[in-house]
Amino acid sequence: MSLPVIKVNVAYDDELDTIQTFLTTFVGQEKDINRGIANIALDDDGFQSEGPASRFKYMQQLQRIANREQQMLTIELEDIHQHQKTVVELVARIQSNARRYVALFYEAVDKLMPTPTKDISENDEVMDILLHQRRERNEQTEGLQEGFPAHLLRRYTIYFEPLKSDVALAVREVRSTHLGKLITVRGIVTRVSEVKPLLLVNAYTCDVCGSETFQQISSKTFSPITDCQNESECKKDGIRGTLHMQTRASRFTPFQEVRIQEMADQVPVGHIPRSMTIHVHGGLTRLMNPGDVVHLGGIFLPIPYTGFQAIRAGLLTDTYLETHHVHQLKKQYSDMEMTPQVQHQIADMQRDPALYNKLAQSIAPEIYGHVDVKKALLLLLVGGVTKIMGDGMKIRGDINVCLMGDPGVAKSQLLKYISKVAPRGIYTTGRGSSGVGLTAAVMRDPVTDEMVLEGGALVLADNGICCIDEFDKMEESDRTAIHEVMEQQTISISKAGISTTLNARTSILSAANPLYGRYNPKVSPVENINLPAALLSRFDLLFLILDKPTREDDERLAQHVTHVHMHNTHPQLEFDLVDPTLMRHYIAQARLRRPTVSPEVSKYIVDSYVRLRKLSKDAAEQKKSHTYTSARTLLGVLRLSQALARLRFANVVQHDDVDEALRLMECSKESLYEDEDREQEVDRSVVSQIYRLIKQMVVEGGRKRRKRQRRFGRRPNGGPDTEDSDEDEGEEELSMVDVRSRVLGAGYNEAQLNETIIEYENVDVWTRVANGSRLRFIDI
Amino acid sequence: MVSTPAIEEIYNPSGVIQHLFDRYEGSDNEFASVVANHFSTILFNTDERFKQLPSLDIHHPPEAYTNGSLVRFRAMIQDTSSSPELYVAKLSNHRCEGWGLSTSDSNETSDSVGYQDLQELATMWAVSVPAESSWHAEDILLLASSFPAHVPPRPHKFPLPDVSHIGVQIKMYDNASAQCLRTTDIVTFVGILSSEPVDAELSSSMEVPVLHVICYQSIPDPIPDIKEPCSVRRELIRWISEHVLGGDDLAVEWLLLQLSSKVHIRATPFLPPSLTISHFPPPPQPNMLPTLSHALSELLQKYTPIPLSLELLNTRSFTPESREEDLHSGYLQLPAGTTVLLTESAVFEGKVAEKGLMNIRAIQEIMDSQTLDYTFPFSRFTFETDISTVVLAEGRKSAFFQTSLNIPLQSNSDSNLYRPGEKVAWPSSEKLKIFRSYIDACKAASGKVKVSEAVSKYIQESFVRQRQEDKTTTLNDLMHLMKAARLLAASHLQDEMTTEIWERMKELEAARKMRIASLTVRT
Repeated sequence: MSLPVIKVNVAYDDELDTIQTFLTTFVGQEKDINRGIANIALDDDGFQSEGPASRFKYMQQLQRIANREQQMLTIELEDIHQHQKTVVELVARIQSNARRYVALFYEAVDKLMPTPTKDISENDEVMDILLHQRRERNEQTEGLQEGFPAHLLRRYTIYFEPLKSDVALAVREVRSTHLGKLITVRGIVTRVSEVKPLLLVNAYTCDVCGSETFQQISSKTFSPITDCQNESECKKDGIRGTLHMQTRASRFTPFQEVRIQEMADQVPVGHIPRSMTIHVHGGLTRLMNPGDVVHLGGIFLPIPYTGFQAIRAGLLTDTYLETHHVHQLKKQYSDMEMTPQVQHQIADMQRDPALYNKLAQSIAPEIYGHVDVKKALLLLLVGGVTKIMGDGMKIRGDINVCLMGDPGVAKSQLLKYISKVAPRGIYTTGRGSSGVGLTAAVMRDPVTDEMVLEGGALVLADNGICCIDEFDKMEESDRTAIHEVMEQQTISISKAGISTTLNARTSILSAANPLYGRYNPKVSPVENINLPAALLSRFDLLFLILDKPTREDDERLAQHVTHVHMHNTHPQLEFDLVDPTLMRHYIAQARLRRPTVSPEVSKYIVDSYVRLRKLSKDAAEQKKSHTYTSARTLLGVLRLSQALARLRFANVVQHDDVDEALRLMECSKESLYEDEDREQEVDRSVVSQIYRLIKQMVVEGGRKRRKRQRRFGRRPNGGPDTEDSDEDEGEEELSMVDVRSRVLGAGYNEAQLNETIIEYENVDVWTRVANGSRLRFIDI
Repeated sequence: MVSTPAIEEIYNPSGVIQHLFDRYEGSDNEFASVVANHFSTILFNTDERFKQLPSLDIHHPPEAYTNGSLVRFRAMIQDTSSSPELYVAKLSNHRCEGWGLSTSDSNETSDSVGYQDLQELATMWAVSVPAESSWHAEDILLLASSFPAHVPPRPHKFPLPDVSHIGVQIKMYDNASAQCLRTTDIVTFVGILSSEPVDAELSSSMEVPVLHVICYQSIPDPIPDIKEPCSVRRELIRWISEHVLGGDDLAVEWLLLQLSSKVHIRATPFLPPSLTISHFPPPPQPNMLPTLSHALSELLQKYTPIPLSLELLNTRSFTPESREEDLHSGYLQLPAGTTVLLTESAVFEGKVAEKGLMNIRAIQEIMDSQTLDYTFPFSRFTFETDISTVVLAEGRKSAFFQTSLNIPLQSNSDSNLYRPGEKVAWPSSEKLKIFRSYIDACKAASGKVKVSEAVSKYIQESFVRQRQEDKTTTLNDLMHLMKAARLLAASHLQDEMTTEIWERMKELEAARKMRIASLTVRT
């Protein structure tokens, strides 16, 4: 694409005046309070003679430059924007023809440069002294010899800082139309060259007349001058004095060449990332390291091929970006960018009461069923809250889940999916990687020939999720390494002279097969699971997934598969899938919350824990137990409830969360129950479940009111005032809005809720009042 | 009627371009597409005109051509990561400068060239198509090769090491259309050939051939029409079974299913499977390729054997890697539709280094999800592949890989599975042509197989019944059967799955399982 040629009516003299006015009159609002305070201090000291000028941002900088305290002058386009109140004028012209304006600014600044208020001292560099001498000589030799060129006397460089609203381009978006313009590019630094001195002005001395000759260098190569150019002495006499280069008098600037590459989100799918060359000069060198993600503001320019190459290659040119401004984004590469659109969507999602179910179903949608497993995986992704106690002890918040089951129930697929969705997910198999590969290894660094510690899968998944497949096939020695990770979340290494502790704050999701490959119902569960109790208790949830052939299940599965083959797509699900990226953002946001547990809820948890322990004791007597309920279970319930609260973006854990956590724990063993057992359980029809849920809301409401009343009354004989409970219930009313949100939040839909209400209305348990907006229980 | 040969375009392309430039009055950035249109309508119009263009390939390396000749080059794009270059599109004397037309007397320094005369061109690196069978290149008149043997200037940019190839730097002047080209695409370029140093900065950089592209096309191969697919199928199976795989019909049936697979839809149930032929006896001498390899190279358009050994795995690259901003190629950077045969007969005891582990993982990733990761200094980019893999294993299964299909070989005890290519009794060349078209047709058909409602119900019921009889069948079995049944329908060139095919599939599967079971008992 060639460049459009437009006639720009700019009178450069007027521009020079505008620039001078801007520099002298611009008053910056000091956004940095510290600097503002420091500036006030300067005023008070009376160091600067010009009082009002000290508030002028650029004049202050010019003074510092004159005093040799500052070498870089950054002109912020935002300031010009503010000064002129519009972007269309000077700012736009600067952006479209940046180099010309750099020259103009140099001219303006040279004119405005105040006299230095600090004298030459022994702390200044050689160059400053030379320039000082030259300046004095300039004044003395007016008229006799032309003064020294202005660019030699400059000890500063001018940079533009682009507008904050400037859109950062990707490397592939930078085209030839951007030549000469001030643009912003975003990328990741891949290669950084050494800092070398770049020659700007070359100085020679003549060995006949002793005068100095200067040559300004503006390209990559130059031919040195050999004959003395002094008009008044050598040339006049016709002598050809030899010139010698004086490096100490020449002006150099540090120069570094950097390559940046596009980042993953800037490359269209299926294409290879492009790179771009960046030149940095002066104070901008040594700011970038390989691996940094940067925003660079600069001028896009061509380098002409010179000489021999130009002829051969048909006058091709290479391009580069002359950097004016470096802005580091993050030291690590991260590709999660929050756009306003995404935030909007997350806000919508928050308001949706059926969110929990939706998110759970959106995990691995190709895998049919296993809703509870998916719910547990969702909680795994969110995780509980990690607490660091005052004495340094850490209570982990990561949830560990184990999926044990028969082959063919899609365990590995679930694991692979989770390892892809989690921002730092690693998938590994127990059989393939040794403990060293899982934890860490000591290796010899080829460059330095020292022993170096390299993290294995668990360390790589720090702050992420490690999915370990074929957990039971791991070697015993490797499994012990996992013990430490799961509880202390660290790995201790003591090998080859290196003894250290690495962090491994990961959640572990593992999949295993039962002892005999398939679950053997004739043998007790403990034997089937074949994992030592110590390891078992470290898992918060252990799902036993059996593959029991039942007619409906098989039909549904077969229908699912054949549907895929018939229509080449997945069957339409009953709800909308949440897009994986959106889910990642939502989970990232959810992880920022740190919900607390109120005393009531904690009491409730304690009660449930005691109940669980009792159940476990009973089951142990009946030889039906398969898990070990220990103190870790209590923490596990706590973590799961915290994860559920985080999902709701709530700051307090509530009863429902604890109930759901307990339910997940119980139903993890659901597969084990024999079919006969299932019928003996309480009626699990949807209508009854909803009814029980509503009933519970009533009980809770009563409890709240009772709590309030407790403060007021105590019975005459000092006993607690508890007998009001029944009477309270009789007049209980619930708002339909609350009921609806609670029921939908528990995973039922509107139709089922209506069905329940109508059915129980017919039996006179409750009735709808106030135009259907409240539900009142009927007291009999 | 003989169509007039496009003499002017072929023998004096620069003149034609300058002529077009003189007559052109539009904006400068459209000129390249005007040139492309002009040449493509003339050259791609008929097959005859196309064949008149001299071809750049292994038999006609760049040394055979003078600078400035118009050639066509059928190539695979290997590297698109080079930055675009700016070139002087026209000089002040109204001479067109693109396409390397500038002559050596352009002493004009860059100062006199304004920005408005600069335009962008895209650069990329392309190589002659790897893994392409020799019969697929046209019947070429092999001129007496008196040219110096072509030494490829950058051998690290070709996927298969030690294979003769050509690498060419491609310069595309039509920048917009160049953006659509991706790595591993197969494209036929037509342009002016010249030779330039690859890095103009360093005076010591080597010279590489450069093709200034005028126009290009990438048409997919036409789907052949096969009459009597059933008899062709039977003959093919019989021939392979008798001469290649020692009389094992069942193994050939499964091999044919694998050869009919191709990526059409990128969803897990539709990705091609991977096949292991187990209990494949080792060769009498090491490093011998089985007859199967020679047969596949004659039957398939794009095929390459990779004889695995620990040394190969530990030292060679399989995945492309970007080192110093140059994309080095790897074994797996192959065009879509390539079949790869992995042999494990040269694998003995030893250590697998980290590089070997990564290579094994990359191959497994291709088998499972048809994706390949290219390594960059600070990131990995995933690309889609379409590579069909067949593994030959000596034992019960492959030492390294888990494939979705496994068929043990039971060949006649006196058959020789390692005959060299010359000793194989090839069918007649017409027959071979029919076999080749047949396999292409199968690959195309595998994307079109449909399952009707009725057949779907039948399959569901059959599955439920099977589950009740045998508690060990799982959902995976059903998915596996459905995928294979699709391929079976495709290999019969039918576009709809019928109940007969389903039943036949179940028979094949039962036979395969029985064979595996019997061999397990024996060992």
